Amino acid sequence: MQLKATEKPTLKERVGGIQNFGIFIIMLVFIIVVVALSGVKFFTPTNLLNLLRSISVTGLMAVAATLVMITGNIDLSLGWMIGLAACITGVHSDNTVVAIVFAVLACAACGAFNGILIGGLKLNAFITTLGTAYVFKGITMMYSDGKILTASVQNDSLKFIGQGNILGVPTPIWIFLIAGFIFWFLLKSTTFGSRIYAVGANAVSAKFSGVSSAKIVMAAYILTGIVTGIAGVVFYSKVMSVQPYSGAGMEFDVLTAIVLGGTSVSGGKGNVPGTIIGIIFVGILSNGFTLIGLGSNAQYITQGVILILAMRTDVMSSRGMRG
Amino acid sequence: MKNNKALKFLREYNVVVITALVFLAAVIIASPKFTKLSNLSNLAMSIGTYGILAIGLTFVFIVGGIDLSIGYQVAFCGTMLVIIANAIGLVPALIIVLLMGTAIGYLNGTIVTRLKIPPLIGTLAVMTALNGLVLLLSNNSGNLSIKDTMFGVSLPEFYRFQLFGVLSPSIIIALILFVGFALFLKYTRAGSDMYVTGGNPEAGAFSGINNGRLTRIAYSICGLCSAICSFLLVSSLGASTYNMGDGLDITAICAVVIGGVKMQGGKGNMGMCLMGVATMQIINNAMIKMGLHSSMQSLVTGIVVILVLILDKLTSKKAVNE
Repeated sequence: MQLKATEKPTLKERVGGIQNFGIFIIMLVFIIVVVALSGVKFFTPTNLLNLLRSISVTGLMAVAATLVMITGNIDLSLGWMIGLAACITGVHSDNTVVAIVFAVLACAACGAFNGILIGGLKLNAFITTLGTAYVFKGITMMYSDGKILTASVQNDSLKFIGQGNILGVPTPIWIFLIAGFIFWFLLKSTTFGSRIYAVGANAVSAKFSGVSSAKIVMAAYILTGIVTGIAGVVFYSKVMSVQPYSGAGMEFDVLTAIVLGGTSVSGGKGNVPGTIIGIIFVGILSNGFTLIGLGSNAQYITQGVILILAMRTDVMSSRGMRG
Repeated sequence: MKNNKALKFLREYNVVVITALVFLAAVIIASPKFTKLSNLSNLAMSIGTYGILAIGLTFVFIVGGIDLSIGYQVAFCGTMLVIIANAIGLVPALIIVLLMGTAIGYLNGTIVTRLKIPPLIGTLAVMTALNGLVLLLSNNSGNLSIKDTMFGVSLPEFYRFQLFGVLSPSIIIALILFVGFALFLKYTRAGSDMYVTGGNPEAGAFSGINNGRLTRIAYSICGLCSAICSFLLVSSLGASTYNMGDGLDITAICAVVIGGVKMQGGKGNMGMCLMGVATMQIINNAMIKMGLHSSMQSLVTGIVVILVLILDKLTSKKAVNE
């Protein structure tokens, strides 16, 4: 396994977590500005927990989708996939186990569908997932009849997933952190993880060294599907109600977080800690603007500018990316 | 040999067959309502309006780029059009907005070529920022209706106006752009160089082609087309809404891809673009006429996109080697 060693990213990339220093500096500056304008409100435990709770759903999807991005692919169907999972949870809100199993299975199937088309048939990931997003949208709208699904029966165990606390920390944060840890471990310390990097860095040489890129890509999509299913359950149980189209557009938040975290869109480079920092940064932006008293409008504008700035510093520091 | 030629034609232009089959299917299944003259002219109008957006996107695809921001470009240009028109009149507002659209496109091109940011991320950033701007401009309050008129006719009347009973403004504008850009791509130096920029940028650079400049031009054309499309959409509604661009980007991308324009760059033309848009609009229109629920429409659209991708993979020779 000579190749495995060379295809592995460098120590700095794997362990460092923050390969994109630009984002880190911008983040610090932004926090200083927020604290300066809003006083120390930002650093209260309540506020920080709120911040983490608000990003937990997108964060869940982002840590899983990082795998897909590292294989050099992309998933733009996540928004409707989580919509489907949340609607399934809504329909089965009287039985927690059934809700979770059905939501996860449905999303795993969606992920497998993406995986077969992209990994197996080698279709362009960008366009394919735009197409499958339409398919999932159709299924979600048919399944929910386009109506808002609100829990009809009191279901405390389901409510606990979205609104409960363990040791004073909201459950969604625990789920997010556990998923983050699992995926970090998966990428860093398993053969599967290094194969994901190998496929993304160079699919051809990975093939010659006996790694089936089709299987790896499929596995990445299915895992993303499974986690999106869980995210859908959390998403629903946070308010115990869902609008079928409320997931639309989430895929772009996920993409922003992953890219801010230093994962390359051309594959082969990136890691989970980076993605977590990316999603926390998006959370800080949104939370900070609320604290200062500016709305989401200003947040979007800033987010766009920061994405460019962060990518620019990344390009300048790596020079490896093709424009 | 003749057989080979036919096969080659099919491989290159399988979209023509798809469009014809889809049209035929629509005529058979949704017949009495679908084939009414009023419906067909509605269909042509929507092909015109959405086709303009797809024309711009085709240019970006040809140079090997992608533009996620066109939906919000339309929303931003539409909102600005209404605000400026209500302040200083429609005609100057239209000129300003067309320039503004081109400038946004140029900005996209600059981000991609000068800052060397991957187009997917660069245009995602512009999309996010434009989303914020649109929300800011419309104060989160749904509609902004337009008060000024175009040479004495209100905009919805203008949009519905029909020359010889068929040619409405959206069709005329789309036709002009379509023919003009088709000639541009075929007969000008810049047009044919764009294919090299998209297909093989290294070779282009060696032979003295300014890839960056051509890419910026392509993005600018795309921005201009978004601005024109926003004008037509505002005309049809008589107002701008903050979410008027939602989903337009994805619809346009799917239409262009159905047409056979390659995302990797270097391949595509106005004919493919038109066929792709026509296919998608025929499907949508026929399904509405059949009284199908909108959920069914998205499902079918998605399946069509995937089938086209698979068909494309199976019919292209290169795929075997990849």
